Amino acid sequence: MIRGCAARRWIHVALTLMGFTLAIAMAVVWRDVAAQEPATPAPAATTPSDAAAPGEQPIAFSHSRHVQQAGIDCQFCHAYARRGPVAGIPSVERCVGCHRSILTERPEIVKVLDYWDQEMPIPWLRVHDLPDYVRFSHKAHVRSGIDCAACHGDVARMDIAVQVESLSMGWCVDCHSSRDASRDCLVCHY
Amino acid sequence: MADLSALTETVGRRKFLKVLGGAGPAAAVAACSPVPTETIIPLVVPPDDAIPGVATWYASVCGECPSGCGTRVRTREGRAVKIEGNPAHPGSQGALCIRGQAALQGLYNPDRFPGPQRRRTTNAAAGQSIFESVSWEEAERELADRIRALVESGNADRIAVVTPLLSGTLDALVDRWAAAVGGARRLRYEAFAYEPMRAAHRLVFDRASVPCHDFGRADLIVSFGADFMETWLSTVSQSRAFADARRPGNGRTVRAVHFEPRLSLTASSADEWIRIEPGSEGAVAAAMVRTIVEEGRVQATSISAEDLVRIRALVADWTPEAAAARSGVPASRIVQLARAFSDPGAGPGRTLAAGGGVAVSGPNGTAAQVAVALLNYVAGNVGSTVRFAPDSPWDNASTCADLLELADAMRDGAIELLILHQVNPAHTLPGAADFAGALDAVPFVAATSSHPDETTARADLILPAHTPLESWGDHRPAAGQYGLMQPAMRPVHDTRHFGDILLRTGQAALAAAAEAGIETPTATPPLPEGEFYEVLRNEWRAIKDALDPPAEPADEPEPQEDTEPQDPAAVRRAAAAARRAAAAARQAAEAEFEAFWADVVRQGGRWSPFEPESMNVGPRLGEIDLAALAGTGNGQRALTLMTYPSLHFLDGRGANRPWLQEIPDPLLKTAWGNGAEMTPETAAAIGAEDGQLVTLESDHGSVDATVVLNPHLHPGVVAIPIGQGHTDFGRYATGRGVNPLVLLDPAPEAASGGPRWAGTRIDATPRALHRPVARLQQTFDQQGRGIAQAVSRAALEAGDVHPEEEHFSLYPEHEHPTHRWGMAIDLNACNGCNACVAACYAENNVPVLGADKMVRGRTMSWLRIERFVEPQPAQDGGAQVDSRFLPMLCQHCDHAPCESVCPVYATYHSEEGLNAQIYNRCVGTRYCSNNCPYKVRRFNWWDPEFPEPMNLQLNPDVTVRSAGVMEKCTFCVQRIQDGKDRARDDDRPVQDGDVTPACAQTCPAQAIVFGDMNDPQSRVSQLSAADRGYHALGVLNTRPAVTYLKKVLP
Repeated sequence: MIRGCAARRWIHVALTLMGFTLAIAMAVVWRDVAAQEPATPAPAATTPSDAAAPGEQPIAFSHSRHVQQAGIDCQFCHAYARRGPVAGIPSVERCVGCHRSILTERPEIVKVLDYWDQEMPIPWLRVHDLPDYVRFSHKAHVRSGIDCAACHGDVARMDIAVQVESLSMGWCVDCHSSRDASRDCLVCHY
Repeated sequence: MADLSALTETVGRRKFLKVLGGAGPAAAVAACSPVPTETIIPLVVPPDDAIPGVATWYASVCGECPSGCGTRVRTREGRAVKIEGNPAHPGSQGALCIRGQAALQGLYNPDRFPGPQRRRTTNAAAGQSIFESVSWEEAERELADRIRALVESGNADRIAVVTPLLSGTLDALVDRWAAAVGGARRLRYEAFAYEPMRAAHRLVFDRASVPCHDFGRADLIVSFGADFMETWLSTVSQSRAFADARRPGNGRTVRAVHFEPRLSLTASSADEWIRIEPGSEGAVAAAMVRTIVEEGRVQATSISAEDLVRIRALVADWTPEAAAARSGVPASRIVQLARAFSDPGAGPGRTLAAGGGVAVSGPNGTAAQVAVALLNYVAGNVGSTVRFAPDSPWDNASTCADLLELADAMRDGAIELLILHQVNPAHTLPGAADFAGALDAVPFVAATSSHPDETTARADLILPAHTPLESWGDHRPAAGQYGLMQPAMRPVHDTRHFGDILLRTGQAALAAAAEAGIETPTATPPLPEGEFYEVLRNEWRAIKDALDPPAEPADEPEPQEDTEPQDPAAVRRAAAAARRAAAAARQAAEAEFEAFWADVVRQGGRWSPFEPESMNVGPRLGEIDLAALAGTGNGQRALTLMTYPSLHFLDGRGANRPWLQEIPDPLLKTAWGNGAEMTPETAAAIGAEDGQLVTLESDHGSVDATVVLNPHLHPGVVAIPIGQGHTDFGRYATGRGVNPLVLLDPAPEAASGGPRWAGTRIDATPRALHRPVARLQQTFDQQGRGIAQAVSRAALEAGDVHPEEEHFSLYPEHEHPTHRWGMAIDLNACNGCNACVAACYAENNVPVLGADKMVRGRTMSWLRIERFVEPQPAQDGGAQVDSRFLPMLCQHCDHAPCESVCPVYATYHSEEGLNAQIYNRCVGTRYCSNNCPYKVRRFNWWDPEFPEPMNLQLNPDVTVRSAGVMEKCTFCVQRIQDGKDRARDDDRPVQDGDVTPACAQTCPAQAIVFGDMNDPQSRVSQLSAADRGYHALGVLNTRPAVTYLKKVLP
């Protein structure tokens, strides 16, 4: 009797899980198909409700304060964007370059100065993450005059940076299509 | 969890399946969870010269052999990922050989010493001991104490330092160190030190040197065993010069004849390979000299009548008939060759004889080299194609006899401290010399090698030195040629520069001795202060003054020599002004040097052609006796052993690089091992078959080796490559193949002190065991498919080349609106050296599978060298072999059979003509591989393994593929993207030469040319349209993007 109960329970569990899997797989497949179908472009995921923050950053860095109030250009800190594939997260030295003398008493700045004193990097959480099999070059996009906000959203108005675009392949291909950029697989996958 | 543990008690088949059924979807659901968040770690202080994701290049010098080719090391995020030749280097011109490519695996070898180690005895009675880590301070103190003790007791001559053949600053420093401590012994050990050649040149020209050989200038090259495309001297520059000289259409007809008992790689590229009785090469050379002298065809202009008489007397006995009887080469052929070699119509110095390889390192090696030297001399080649350089480092190399003498001294207790730097005599000296046993007799052995090997296994203290890729240094192969070695990255492990180890221990020992009141020798220059880097820079100050003499100082005021007493204030003012002027001059000179230093560091050195020394036969001609060429009976044993240097491992130093093990030998296609090569007839005579173990026995040792059948060998010869059979050389080398040196007669050749690589007599007894070596190509027969095609020179010149048939296609043509990438591979230039294969492994993160999988026929190489041997009617003078090499890679077909069968569109044709493989789409059906007629697609049956720190070598620009994915040659698409990116940066179209795949970049023969077929002016377009062009398996109408150019037969 007990054995029978266990067996039935397992069948239930298995069937339920299989159902879940099927539903999710269909949803994924449908989304991919929809994303790759040029005739019916997928709705761009730009609504704030889609915005995703990875978790709590080690320092509550506010982009808006630096861009809106201090008027600093994106590439002052993300200095490699026009020169290489990665935009670069500013070195601790870059932060301290200003904050050695600016607002040194603020608790968040004190954290930065602590990292500097200990010669430790700041372990930021990655917000925009592409899969490892995707090769993306910031340089090529900056060279073509793509605004940072086109992919990263209006970071200038964000306190804590969040991801607003899906960065899915369909989303990339849509933009490439509309700008008549190459849609060859080998542009990004090799 | 509780349920599961309850189930395990009575788990049956049904229950197991139920659990599995539940677990599968559960795992699938788990896999759908969001990707875990990554951290993104910025630098604390960014380096000035590096942009993340962008390569930084450092010019340096290759340290894998004494040739010292210039290199450029590509680094990414502070780690070396690829080595290329330095295009500014005059010899290699940007190319690099297979061993140079694999230097990265010396740097990142997982078996390297992580830091200093000291032997600790764990059980004295049983003789057991282990290595334990110590700090550098402790290790250096221990060595310094040992040195001090010997210095204080006046026994500094009981210290011996053995290094490889070095040149430049480090070499001078070791000498200075040896002198400063009071006369330590110093040896420069190379297993292949060309002792017979040096001894012969001493006898003939009174100059024991190794000259430079100009293969580009000669119209007829006669090689007596010199494997000048494999290991003999500077192989990269020689291969380049040879290929350039023989390019069809350059207006020259350069012929090459090769004498050797075995068909080597070099012999395969010659027009004629003459299979010769081992040890009789010198007899043929002597007969050629005699013919030239007797027929009055001597081309040397500076030769005196007296010398001519002496030379005539020397070779008088070697008539063509006598040489024919000794060698098996028909006398008519020898005469014919001699006449061609000294053609008065061509003038002097247009031919080249090269003696070398192990074939000329037998019991009569020196006599053979004397004959070759005389041959070059009478043909007027000395000073033209044979150029003696002033200050050649080879002049100083120790001989094998020197090492054996050291071993005797060690056994006699005359050596109390032995310092060994990156040498492995316990493996590379003849086994019967028992260097390992001699090491045990030395009270204290310190090794500064970076890798554990058979020699360091017997050391007491390990002070691991940097590898060349982590070191400063310089290389001076000849006067006027300076290569500068700079580190490409910070040391991977806790290692130090060899120069610094010497300086620190020497300085500490001498200081301690001085403190104790011991007088240290003062006659010698003292040890320099500071670090090796400063010593190097000071050395280069002198080099700068020689190369760029300092600017003449501006008119200095003449010192006034007034006799009248001067005003003291004026004198002070003048003195102060003079001091200021001197300080300013010093500052200016320093600034000038810094500019010079920055320039040479960036260029990788300075090279200017040297003026060859003029050479004439010297006073020692009378000491020559060519009677040794007659040979000395065969003794009791049935077979002749011929050990030869390995293309991949040289003397064995490369055996711990997995690429070199994994890439099949181009001739026999064996991997991860070696064997006893013998002809099928010889094998039948001893009753053995391919893959069977035979016991080889000489008077000096015995070894069990696998039979590898090789029809292109002199009957009665057993050939075994040197370099395998390691017992203690890391995970990749230990236990692979056999070390044939255990069979050798340890007594060196009397005339030169060189080892006798060839000529030991052996017996072979089959054993009832098979231990097959991995062989990646089972037949060398093309079966009439015309994969590697050839055309005779006469037909080519007459325009009779049989162009390829045009095939009609039902399918629409692909359109290539921007570029169509293509490749042309010249089979006439390709010598099968495998450099391209190693470059491909390095560039494209191609995984290494290992011996077990390769024995089953697996390999992951994207590019392989196929070898085909065409049946050829036998000519007089031995078997003529038409051996062809064909680099086979993805053909990037326009009508690719692989593309149409992929169910998931993972492989498709790009609009630039690339056959693309998209890893993240691939589901691993392997249909594409099954449908590929070229067999160039590779399936990942296993996840690749890159044991740390080997993973640091991975090219970040190329995806590392995982199990279940198909992969293949991409034409280095990452380099295509990079080339296009650079062109866009400069706002210009992509030009020919912007994109060079790794294989084409490194090819020493420049056999591979890559470019845009849409550009009619590109080199690849022009070559592909040439008469010799054809497509592999063109009959299939796959329309490949790779065009092969037929080999030209004589």
